[in-house]
Amino acid sequence: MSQAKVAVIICSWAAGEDMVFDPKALADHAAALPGVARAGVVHRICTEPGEEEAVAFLKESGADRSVVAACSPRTKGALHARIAERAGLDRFAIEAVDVREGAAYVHAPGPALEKAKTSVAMAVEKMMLWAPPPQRILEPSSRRVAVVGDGLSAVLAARELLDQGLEVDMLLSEEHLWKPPRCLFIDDSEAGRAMRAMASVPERARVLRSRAVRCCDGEPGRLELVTEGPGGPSVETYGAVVLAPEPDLELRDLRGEAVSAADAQGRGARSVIVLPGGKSSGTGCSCITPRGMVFALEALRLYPDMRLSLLGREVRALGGMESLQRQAQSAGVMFYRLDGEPVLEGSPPSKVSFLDPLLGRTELEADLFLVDSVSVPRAERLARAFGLPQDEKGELLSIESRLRPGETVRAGVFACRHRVGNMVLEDLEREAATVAARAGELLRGETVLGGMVAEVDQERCSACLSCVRICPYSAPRIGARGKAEVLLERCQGCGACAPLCPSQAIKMHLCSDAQLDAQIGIVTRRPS
Amino acid sequence: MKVIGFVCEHGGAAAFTLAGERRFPLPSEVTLIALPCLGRLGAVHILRAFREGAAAVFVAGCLEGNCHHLYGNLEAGKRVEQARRILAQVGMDGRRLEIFHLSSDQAWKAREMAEEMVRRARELGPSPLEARA
Ligand code: SF4
Ligand code: SF4
Repeated sequence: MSQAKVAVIICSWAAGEDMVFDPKALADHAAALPGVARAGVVHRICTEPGEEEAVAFLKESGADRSVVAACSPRTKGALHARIAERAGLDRFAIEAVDVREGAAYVHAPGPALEKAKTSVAMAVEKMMLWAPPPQRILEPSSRRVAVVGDGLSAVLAARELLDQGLEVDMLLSEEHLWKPPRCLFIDDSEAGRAMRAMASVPERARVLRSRAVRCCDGEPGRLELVTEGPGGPSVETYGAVVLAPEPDLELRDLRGEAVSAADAQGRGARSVIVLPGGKSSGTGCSCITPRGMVFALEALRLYPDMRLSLLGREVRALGGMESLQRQAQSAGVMFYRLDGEPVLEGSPPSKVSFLDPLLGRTELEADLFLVDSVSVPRAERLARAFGLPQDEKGELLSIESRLRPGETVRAGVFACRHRVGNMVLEDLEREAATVAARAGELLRGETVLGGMVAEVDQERCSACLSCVRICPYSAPRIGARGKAEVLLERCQGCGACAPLCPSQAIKMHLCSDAQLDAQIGIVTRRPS
Repeated sequence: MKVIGFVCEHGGAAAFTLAGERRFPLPSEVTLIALPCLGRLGAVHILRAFREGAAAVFVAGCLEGNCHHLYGNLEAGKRVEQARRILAQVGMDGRRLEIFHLSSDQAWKAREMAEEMVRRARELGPSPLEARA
């Protein structure tokens, strides 16, 4: 085996725009470290010219692995993998260290440079022990995608997939699509846009009605969906599955019944208070949302004498939604801020008391109380059918909603989770587009599995089942040889199995025991 | 004097990144080692850090019940207890080791943790194992 060689790239912005230390000094230090083939400064690695420079630098260095010292790497994984691949390295052969937020921004100049040197030395030492991790490109067997859902979310996801040229089966659990609630739409043109999609998209897809998903087997890229319906059970193979459970976004009364503006009038309500969902709801959101404002505006348009008050800890009006808030305010909708939970009094309740940070303890009377919350009904059923863990609120667990949106813990199964933005039409559309894009990637053969995953040394494993029991994602199983093996497509690289293995048979790739020991060794090394 | 912080990517490391973005001054004695999740941490890693001469070690991950990987943070709690028992046997003060739970937006807490552990390390002095290392 040839000697490992590390190339070290210092981003010119590693020390921040105010140059807390000289990146060149850091590069010179790195160049002298054992194992380093070349070290240098690249001008702003996250820009296009910076990327080109980094690729050229790596190619010329003759190194087979690299360390990049820059700002926080949390959102840069894809960039680093691309740079590595373009330079002919393994896509997992770059270790990023944060010397800006981790050093330049938090220490005085002298100690900041010292800390940056330590961090780079730790990363170099770690990379010296690097070995290519298990990895595999997912090869889909079919260009057909199943969209599981009953409403607008499913329609929007199906549309995005169809627009990518994929074939789509829409699996409805009932005979017909659910009608979206009016409070999703800021105005009539939005409502029209949604209705047109509801009418036209199902015509372009194959719609399977009244089908309940029983289970999902097979490999990612080749998922076998077992469903049950009027024609009996059936099994179909899909390249990917998109779960688009319809969120419940309607304003509901205290008994949980959905209430429209017309319903409120029908019940003789002269004064309506909309309360935030708070901890009891799926979102745990204590905000006044655009849905509450849309409801209030609609009610005032139809019944100008109605009194409408919205309560919440803050106003959720992201993006262009401030204009909606202004519109509601000038129409006479009252906004109240509250600290803590509101308390309802009377039975049936006729009064709410709460702490307004400006007005102090405040009481308001109303004859109808509504709750604004977001929840995803039937998430449990989906979780069971697809073998997905649920989060603390009972909804489908996401791995990393910001960095890996749309992914579930099961490769090849994607999901809309309805936790983003204002939760009005625009957000449903955006989420559907994101999830469909991720599914499309897989079907184009661009999804790479592996990297930071656990691997079992079959010789050492004593089949004690510790890893099988602890893994949150059911990734390890006892294989044909009677030893544990980790399924690449299920392992999320959390590492929980490794310290528990009594036979020390589990290697965590990209974060091995040897690598951790090496890092500890560098930190505690006394200056020579 | 060296303080090592084992931090999970989603809670601890993210909170320290935010502290950096806010430019909170942090004690430079603290060096972080990032883990995918606190579940990755074994008692052996904590003990090694001490054996190599760290004056204090902390472990920082997601809030209880809010672990990114469901219960890795609770697993780490058991590892910390295990390590503490062994440290007690060799006569090390248990205050040199601590586990913290925080969310990624609690930059202030990251700073407090780092300062607290440096304070303890100063108070307790260099690791009794450092001389032997
Ligand atoms: S690393 Fe985590 S996800 Fe992977 S097999 Fe081990 S416990 Fe399961
Ligand atoms: S914990 Fe280790 S010994 Fe036990 S089954 Fe898993 S790999 Fe095998």
